Amino acid sequence: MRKSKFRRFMDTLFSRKIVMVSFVVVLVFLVMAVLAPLLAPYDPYEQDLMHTLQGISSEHLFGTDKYGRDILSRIIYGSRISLIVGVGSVLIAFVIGSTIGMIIGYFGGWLDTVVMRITDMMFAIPQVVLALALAAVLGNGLWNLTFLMSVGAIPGYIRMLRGQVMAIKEQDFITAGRVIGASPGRLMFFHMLPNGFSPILVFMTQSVGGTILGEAGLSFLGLGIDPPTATWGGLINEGRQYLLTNPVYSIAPGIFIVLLVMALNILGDGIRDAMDPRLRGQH
Amino acid sequence: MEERILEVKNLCTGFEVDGQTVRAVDGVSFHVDRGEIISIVGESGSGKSVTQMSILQLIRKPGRIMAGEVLLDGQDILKYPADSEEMRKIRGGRISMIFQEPMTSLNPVLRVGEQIKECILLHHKMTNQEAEERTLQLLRDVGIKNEKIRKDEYPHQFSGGMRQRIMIAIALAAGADILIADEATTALDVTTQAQLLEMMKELVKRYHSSLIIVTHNLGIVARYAQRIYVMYAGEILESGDTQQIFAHPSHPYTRGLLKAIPRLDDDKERVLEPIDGLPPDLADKSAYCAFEPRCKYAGRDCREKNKPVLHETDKGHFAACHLEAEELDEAEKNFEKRTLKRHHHGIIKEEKLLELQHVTKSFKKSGGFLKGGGEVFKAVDDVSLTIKKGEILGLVGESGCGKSTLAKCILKIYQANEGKILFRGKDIIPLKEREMKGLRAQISCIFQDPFSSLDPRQTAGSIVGEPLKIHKLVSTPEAYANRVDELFRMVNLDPALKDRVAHEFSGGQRQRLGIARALASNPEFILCDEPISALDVSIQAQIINLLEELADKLQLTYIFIAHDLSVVKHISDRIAVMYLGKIVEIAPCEELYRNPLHPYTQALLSAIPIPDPVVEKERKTIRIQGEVSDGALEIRGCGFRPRCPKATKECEHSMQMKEYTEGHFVLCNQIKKLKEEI
Repeated sequence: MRKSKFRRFMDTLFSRKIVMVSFVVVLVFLVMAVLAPLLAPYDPYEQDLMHTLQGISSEHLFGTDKYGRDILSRIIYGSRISLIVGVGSVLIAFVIGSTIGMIIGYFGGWLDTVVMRITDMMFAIPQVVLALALAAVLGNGLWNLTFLMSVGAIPGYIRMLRGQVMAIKEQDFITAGRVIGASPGRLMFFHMLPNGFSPILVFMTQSVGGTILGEAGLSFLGLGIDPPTATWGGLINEGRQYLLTNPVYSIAPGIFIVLLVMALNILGDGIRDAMDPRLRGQH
Repeated sequence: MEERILEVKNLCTGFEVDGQTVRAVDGVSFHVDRGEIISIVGESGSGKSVTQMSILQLIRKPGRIMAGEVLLDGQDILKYPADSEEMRKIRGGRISMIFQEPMTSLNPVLRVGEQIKECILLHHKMTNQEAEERTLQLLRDVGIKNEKIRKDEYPHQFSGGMRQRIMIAIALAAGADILIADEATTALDVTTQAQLLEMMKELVKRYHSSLIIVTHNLGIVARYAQRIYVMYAGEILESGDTQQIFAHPSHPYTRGLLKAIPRLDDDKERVLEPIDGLPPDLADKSAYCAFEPRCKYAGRDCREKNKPVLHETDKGHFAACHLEAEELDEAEKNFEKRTLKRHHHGIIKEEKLLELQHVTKSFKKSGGFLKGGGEVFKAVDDVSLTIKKGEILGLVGESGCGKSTLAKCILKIYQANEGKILFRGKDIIPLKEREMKGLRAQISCIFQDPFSSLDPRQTAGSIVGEPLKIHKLVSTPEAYANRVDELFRMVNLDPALKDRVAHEFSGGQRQRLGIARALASNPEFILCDEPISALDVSIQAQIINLLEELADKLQLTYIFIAHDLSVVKHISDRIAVMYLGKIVEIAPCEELYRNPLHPYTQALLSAIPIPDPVVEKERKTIRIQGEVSDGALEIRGCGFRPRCPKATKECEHSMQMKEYTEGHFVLCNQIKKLKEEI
């Protein structure tokens, strides 16, 4: 019976073709990131100074960069960075933010007030500015980047979980849990989190896309991961100088970003609609 | 013969669900004459509301009226499109409907007078002045005092009962001659319910209109209706004159219902006989009798012959059953008599299990921004009680009397402000949650709402087994699985259903899960917080019997909370009546019903209709006015004083519980006078 419920969810999810397509796109990108060494036609770091800045050709689908490296291979490797930063920072933000959110939502009181004011302050600072400041302090490795992208997202999760918990804790089954002696931790993680998870899942899917965009932005500004590591934002930045002579250099990674982010957003919408079919068609 | 004002013929309404048509109303016919009060009785899902909505064409997609005729003064009104001018004139103008939820059926941002006037002006050409006067007249009609001031108030300034009165005023506003009350009093307190129904009866008489009472409450039917239609699974199973049906019910379902419901005038030893099983799933209705799977009388015929049709068994009395009255009587003789009844006296020990001493819980009404501390009101006010081991105490009171707050204090969901709550001699009020944990295994609770009290994301098995894990009562996974199975069997559920999630169960089954969870930690004491009031009447008896059986078998002690005195009679050893945070009367069960002393207890008893028109006629009625005033805002002396028919100056003084006979305590300053009356 539970399976059939899952089935129904999947049916609704894929009843719209575009959601289906998005799901496939996301899946393709995941496979691409995992199997990068197998899929990439060339080593992304191997320089070939004899063949720099080539255009589209059968040997190099998207041409080569200013050091003669194969752009397609660099894009494929770059998807690893994008996905690690995107998924990783969302997960970190979720774990930290939701734990704090649940605790303040459940216990309330002065702690709640203090934390909420801090999140208000964080909301007041634009995410990019916050990331820039943190990047300046922490330096710019892959994991630093993942972490600093997550910091800006934490207040959002705190708010969402706090709201969910405050609504759920008034329901009888939480009272019932207290009566049978369940500890606050148990109530939060076994009962409140699973019941409040649906909107968060949607939010997470969509914010992976946002984070990838943010990461690309930072890389474009030169604050992302240092070269020679291949990142999409970095590629666009490098190609910028050759935009007139060799547009594919920038456009190709740009298309990949657009594809993945759009697919993630549509998939997020699809999940939301499937969880609550009444919301269908409202975007 | 009286003028036949409304006649419904062979009405069918279906809903498109998952590509198939579910017939919620399946060939229903009935009629109402002018000046008549009829009643449509049925449990939830029987199609009684959908029938009424179909009459007014208020069915929305995916629903659809599939067939039938609705003749209003001989004119078929189903042939008008739902949005037509004609239909709009009929709605409110000829036929008015009053819904169950008085909280949501009024527009919260409009003054009530405006809402009534709107309805008048929609249907009649009148000047504003005339409409205004008619509004005031209507408010007076429905018993709202100070109508000139109150017409300018907003719905939230009225209590639930008052709002329902306003709904009635709106329903009458355009002079509709058919009033449909769709469970209109179900959400209200019993004393308010009695006032409202009495008033509607009065109005119907005065305006010579007709009233259709749609309800699940057979008591109301017996008291007010002249004719009855019994609905089940979208069909009418029995119809006839009220006297006839109650005296000679001809359909097994009607017979079953009458045996299953507790009655106020019951002998305490009467065993409730529940109707087994669950109402049918309308999506796959069989070709034969819809009640057959649950019918104790059913013979071979019932499974082989086609669906029985309504036929006259007596003059004006119809039933849809293959069996004749004699056959039913014959079958009844062979039923196994359930003899199970508590052997009360052996079980109650001298040992005090739970003792409440002067427990008080007050809440601050928030004073609003800049206003500082608000007023304090005492939801539970100086309550003292003792419950012996093995005893079942019924705790009865209307909404707002503080019974649930008291329950939450005992469960330590709320922290009582004053007094002591001694469990096995140990005060639990000062205990920290950590120190409380051991006691949590011994004090359990069954909740009112079987839907919100079970975690929707967990399987039934893990809900029932959770206390075992929390209190580490089992050491191995096998022991855990065995114990969960055992608990399922204890509440008569199939352990094979363990892996389902809560919403896949029916209300009654979910309540069984709640009971199994409460039993899991082997508690000594269970607080039953209105465990049956959210269930269908045919299911209630199953749960009462189960609780009684379990109390016997496991030597449990209960506090059984209810808002209705008829329910607690069967199960309780002693009964306490609460009003505005105080216990006003407490007595051994039979004593309380025989000699109710407190004027409130008397009014409460009198307000509950008995499902037997013969008995109903004989009853003398005590009516009290008004409603439980919101919050015990420090009325001096007796809180019941403003509504009490016997109040005197003396009632303004403070009161003491006084013992009238052994074990029978009353909180009333008029006790001498009360004694003399008896």
